[in-house]
Amino acid sequence: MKRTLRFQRKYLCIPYVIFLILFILLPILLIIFYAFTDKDGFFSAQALIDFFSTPTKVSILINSVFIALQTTILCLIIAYPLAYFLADKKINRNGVLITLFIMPMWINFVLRTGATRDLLTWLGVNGGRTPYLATLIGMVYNFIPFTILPLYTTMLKLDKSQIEAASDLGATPTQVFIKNIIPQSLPGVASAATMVFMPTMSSYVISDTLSEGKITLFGNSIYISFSNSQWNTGSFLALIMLIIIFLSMLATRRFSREPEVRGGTW
Amino acid sequence: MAFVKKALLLVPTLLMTSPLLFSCTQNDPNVSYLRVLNSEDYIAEGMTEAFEKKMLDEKGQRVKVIYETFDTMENMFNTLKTGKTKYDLVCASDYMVQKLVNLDLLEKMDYKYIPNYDTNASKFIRNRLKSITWGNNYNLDDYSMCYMWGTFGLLYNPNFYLFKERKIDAKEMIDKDMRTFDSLWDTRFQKTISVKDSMRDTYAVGLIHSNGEFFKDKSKTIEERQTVFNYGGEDDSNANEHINAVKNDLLKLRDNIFGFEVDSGKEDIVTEKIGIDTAWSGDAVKAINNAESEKNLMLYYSIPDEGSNLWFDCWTLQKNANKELAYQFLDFLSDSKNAIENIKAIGYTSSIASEDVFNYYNDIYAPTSSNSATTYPVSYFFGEGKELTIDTKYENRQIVAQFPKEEVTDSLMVMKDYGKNNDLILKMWEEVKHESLPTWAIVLFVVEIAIIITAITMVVVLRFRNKKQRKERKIKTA
Amino acid sequence: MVKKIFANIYIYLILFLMYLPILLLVVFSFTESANIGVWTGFSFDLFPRLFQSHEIMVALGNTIIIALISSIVSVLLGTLGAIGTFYSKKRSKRAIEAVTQIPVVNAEIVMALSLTVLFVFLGTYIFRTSIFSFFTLLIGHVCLSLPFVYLSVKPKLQQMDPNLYEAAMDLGCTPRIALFKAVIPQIIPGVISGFLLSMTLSLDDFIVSAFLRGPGLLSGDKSIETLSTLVQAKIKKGPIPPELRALTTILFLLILTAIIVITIYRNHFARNSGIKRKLRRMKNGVR
Repeated sequence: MKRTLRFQRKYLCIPYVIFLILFILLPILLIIFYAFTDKDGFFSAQALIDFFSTPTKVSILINSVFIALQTTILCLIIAYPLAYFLADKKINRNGVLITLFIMPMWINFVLRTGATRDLLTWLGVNGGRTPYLATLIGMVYNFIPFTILPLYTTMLKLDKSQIEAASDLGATPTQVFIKNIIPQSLPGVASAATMVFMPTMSSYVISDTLSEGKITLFGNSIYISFSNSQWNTGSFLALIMLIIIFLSMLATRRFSREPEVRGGTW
Repeated sequence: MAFVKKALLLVPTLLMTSPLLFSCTQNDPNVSYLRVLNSEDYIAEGMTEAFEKKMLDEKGQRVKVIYETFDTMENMFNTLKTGKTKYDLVCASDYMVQKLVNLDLLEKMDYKYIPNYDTNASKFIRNRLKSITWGNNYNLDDYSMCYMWGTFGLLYNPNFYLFKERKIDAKEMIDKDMRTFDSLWDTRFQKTISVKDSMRDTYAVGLIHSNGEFFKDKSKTIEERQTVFNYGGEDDSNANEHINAVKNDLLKLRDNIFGFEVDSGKEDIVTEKIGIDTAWSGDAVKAINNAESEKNLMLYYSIPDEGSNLWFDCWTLQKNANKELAYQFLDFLSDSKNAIENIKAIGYTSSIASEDVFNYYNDIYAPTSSNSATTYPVSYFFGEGKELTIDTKYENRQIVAQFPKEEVTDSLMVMKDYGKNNDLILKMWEEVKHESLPTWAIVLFVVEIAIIITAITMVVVLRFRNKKQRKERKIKTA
Repeated sequence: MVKKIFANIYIYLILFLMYLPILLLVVFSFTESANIGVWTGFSFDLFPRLFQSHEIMVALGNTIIIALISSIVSVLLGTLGAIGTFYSKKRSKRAIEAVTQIPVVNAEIVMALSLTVLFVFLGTYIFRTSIFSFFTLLIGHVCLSLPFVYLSVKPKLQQMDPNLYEAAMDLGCTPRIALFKAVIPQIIPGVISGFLLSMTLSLDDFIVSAFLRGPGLLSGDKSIETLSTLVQAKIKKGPIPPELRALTTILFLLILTAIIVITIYRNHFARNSGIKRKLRRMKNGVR
């Protein structure tokens, strides 16, 4: 009897698996197929050759990495002390404050971006004259909640006894911070960084809205290819994005064993 | 618990029925449907309802117009190509009509079913459309009914605060600077200009600039101009060279401008974010009107002396369309009264050149007093001897955008579809749009990467050392 | 002490900066001017205007319907998937989990494009007609949130007492009832948080909606307009339209209320459990 039971429970995941195969795996395979074929469906490496022979495309990639890196660093610099303070029970008594920091995420993202632009215009920061500044502000503003959360959760888990032991053994606060708190919070930093880095590279709404069309990110470039019906080029660019994502996943995997940070919102 | 169970059971039922609840079905046999795809903000409000009412009142036919909009021509083309939905009538720009014809997506128009257009459409428009030919003896007039038309020019605010700071004389700007596209490259106007984030329009500007000498030569005929204006296109044997020349010019242009915009320019110039904008004529009319009524700001529009782009937005009949109903709708739109409604609502100039339309323009631009009156000849459009009597304050402003001056009509050119060279120009455009990192950014970038690499190596080395120490300790203790 | 003051200043400064754009919209939702920064007198007129705006109401309705339906589907699929996977063999478990990770880390644009490619492909070669509709949009949104449901249910399954199900069976439950009575209640917190997370993701999404929408829902025979696509179309042309400022105010107030309610509930809960603990301790002490 037990055998038949096991069978039933296991088969509960069949619809899930079918969905994954149909709508997650198959589309990615199609992207790979399109990336290496031409308009008539024959094998062709044209998109690959085009990509590496056009300086613009590579340069857009470098540009996106630059913007993404700046956003990540800024987000971390702002969010790290914030998360550290918030994790202190004396300051953030019942976790209400952290909810307040995540709250902007519940207001529509496009609306928020528009509001940022309107605010910047009102303050006299103009995307046309200072595209980098405007875009960076927009990106940081949009992605900072995603940085605060994972950092906050790791800060909560910091081993207090270790820190106390260190200071009892005569370490100065700075030493404690560098030798103890930072290494302990590294997993959080790593996952926070991935939460920001990838979306920044591939988002096109923020840079479009805030830089008056002056900054082209990798996401814009994918979007442009597709909206001009260059499916093969677009697919190839998407494939590159996928590869980058995969590589960065491998890289950060060493640090954090919990990819479900985003799930920590609730 | 029981609640959870019930809720879980309810879900599938809800899911099964929800599509039925929410999606309107198209099965009513007594209603004829007309699917229209138009550009955003490109029709007077209530126009489709008025058409439905007219059909019901006059013919007793129940008609439902399903009206949808798109934002850019490229997106519209994608929608049609991916076959997201089927339409009867689609509004497309001149070059897009060419593309659609080439893909065999369009039906030929038969104007005997659109009597209002056949009698009232301006001959100027019809002849121009007929003159655009390509491929297998196709011409635009056969496949598309012109809805709105206009020019591409410069919309500017001669009293912009930055121009005052830079001591640029407003009068001189109107009379001289804004009479040529070259001014967009002029450093005196640095960071005050918005350029269209639209490949074709900005390519046209670049093309005119890089062939400036040719276009400024008044002796060139319209055919010659038309040829040069289509450099880079499919028929050009030296396309690469011409595209490269334009690219170099546009790269210089990019460093001089404030930004690229698609739709925000007409707002930005009113809010004084920018002083000059390249604009389509209808947007210019809207912006000029808004600026005056809202902020008492005087904006101007000019078509540079080199000539500029003349464009047509046309209705096209899709293959397998409900032809009868589509013709009825087009005829309804071409009715003078409705044409005027549309002109009022969207600011562009209609292709209809009836007496009523003429009177409408005569009324809205009428002089406020006799000593500010002047005449403005528009015989090319409305027919022999027609002249509007207008107030001088509209000169160089709304009126030029509505109707280009008679003497410039011969330097207005139509830009065809680039055909197979589209990818080349797109590549050029990407290069223009893309700004490589400024020096400070490169320095910062390199420093950051260096720091990150050292940090990572340090961490790795430390870990390695720790491990080693631990091992040694273990060995010792053991 | 100094540290505490500094920390508080820092926290509230960042908080203020983060809310600045939204607050600006909220403040200017009480005046009618077309642009932010121009105050044309206090008025509530934007609020009735918001509710009269057919366009915005349709978009809002669509957004809510899609969010609800897609979250329900995700929760169903994801929860069943998580339960099923939990009891699967190690190898298939690992394979499923690896695939589940893909949408979590994938860029939204890549996901949207790959699904578009798939649907166009299916439309041209199999269905011979356009298949873009409410369903394609639904699938997109489910893809977006499904892995998060899975990931929030999984830990609850791991924490669950594995003998519970067997015990229920031994006590005479059928497998179905055992599942409902023994397993589901244990993982319900995970399911709820998965649902809320799905709602958040779906409400916030722009790219997937923009790529995958087709005609349907409240938009009738037109392409489905969600709040994101509508706002995007508007802000491309100029500043945020005045009516949307009023909408922001309403959303802001709703969320604020939700937070206050949650906080009160949490405090209440915390106090109660605290009291219980005290009572227990007292009892123990007496014994």
